[in-house]
Amino acid sequence: MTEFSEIDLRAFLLGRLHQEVAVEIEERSLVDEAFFDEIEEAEDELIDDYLLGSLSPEETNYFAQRSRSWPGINERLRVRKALLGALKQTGQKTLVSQSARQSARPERSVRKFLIPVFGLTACILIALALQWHHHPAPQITKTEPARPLPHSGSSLPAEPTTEEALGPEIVFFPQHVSRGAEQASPQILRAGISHRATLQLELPAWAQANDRKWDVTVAGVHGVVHVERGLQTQKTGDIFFVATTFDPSAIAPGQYSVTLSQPQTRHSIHEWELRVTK
Amino acid sequence: MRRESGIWQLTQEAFESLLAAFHQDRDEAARRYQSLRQRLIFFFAQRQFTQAESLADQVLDRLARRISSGEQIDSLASYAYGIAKFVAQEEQRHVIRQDAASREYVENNSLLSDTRDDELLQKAMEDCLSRQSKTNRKVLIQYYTFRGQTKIEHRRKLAIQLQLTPSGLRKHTFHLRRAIEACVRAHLAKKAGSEEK
Repeated sequence: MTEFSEIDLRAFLLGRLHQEVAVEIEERSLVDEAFFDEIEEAEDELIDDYLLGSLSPEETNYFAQRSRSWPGINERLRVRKALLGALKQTGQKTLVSQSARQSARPERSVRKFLIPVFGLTACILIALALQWHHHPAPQITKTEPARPLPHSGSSLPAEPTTEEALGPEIVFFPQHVSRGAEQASPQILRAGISHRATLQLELPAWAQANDRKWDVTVAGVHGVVHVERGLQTQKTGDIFFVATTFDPSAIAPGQYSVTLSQPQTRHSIHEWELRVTK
Repeated sequence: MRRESGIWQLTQEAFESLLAAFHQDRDEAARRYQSLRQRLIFFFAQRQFTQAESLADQVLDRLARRISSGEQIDSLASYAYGIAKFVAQEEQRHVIRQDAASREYVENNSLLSDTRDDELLQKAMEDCLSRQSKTNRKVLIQYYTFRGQTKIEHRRKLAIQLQLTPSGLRKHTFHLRRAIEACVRAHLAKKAGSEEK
């Protein structure tokens, strides 16, 4: 089977590949799911590059022309542009706070040095004052040498492990996507990227009261793989949701249903589809 | 099977036969159906048909028809590819007309159209980003820090730091972006829904 590079896939998406090779990629994208995923990733990167101005003028023209027929492309471009803008802003804030922290460091080091000195001086003075009070005659006092304060932490953080670095996989299940719905596509969880996965399930509008409790069940063809009961409603912005965390590496790749129910009735309130991949 | 004015229409029975042909487990069959539909949409979009979704559904309808009439099909996807090429040929003569009409549709087909929507989008984005772990946000920020040749080298180092291959890092950020954008769309759909009420 022919191997295609990312460059080939990008050329295919831009309509710049030789007809014979393009037909080969076209056919394989239809019959091979994994290969189609690769094309989707390449398409996504192409959108990034277009918005970041990383394409050549020629590629930009091809992109503008070809992408017109991609479903929902305008919306995708706007949402991605907003994401890139938000990331840039967050990145700048991080840099500002980092440089603020760095410029505050010498001051903190001075403080670290001064605290034991002042502390020790104060102790000596108090001890002298007390001794003066009880024994008015001057005496020579022997003081213990100052002990260094315990180190409040290394200035250089340890290299993060993969899991620390990536954090838990978070999969969000919006209300408008439900299992069995016409336009539904499963939410995807990639097991193996982290040892913790958090599923955030959006609550329906009628159920958005903070005092309610919820049960979440994840079940596959071989039965229930994860249950968490009595979960509390959480809120971010104007979205109400419940969250459950588990180890995805403990369950086999495949198709699962995620059910939200109420502890009192055990009736399913909403059901989503979850696809666990490697 | 049902015919009205000579046009075959998909029946529940034919649809069930199609699902059964995908897989005996209904959930898995539904997943495979959706997956093939997505790939068909891509096929038509890539061939510059602006009504890609409708054409993909036509292919699936024709596939269901063949199966319900008892035709034995070894590979549904390969068979669908054959039908898709045929449907594409049929539609080819309408391309110019469709393209002109649909371009207008595509250009105007956005829930977001004015400055107020930009604010909504920005707010939704901030919220959805804040739902990601701090480290996930950091990975994304770092992923986009540099451009050009520096970008490639930077991403390679980032992948090493995260104990991933460069392609693994690409996949990871792809899924992160998808999760964030799905969250944003949920926000916007919710907002649009509440405004309709």
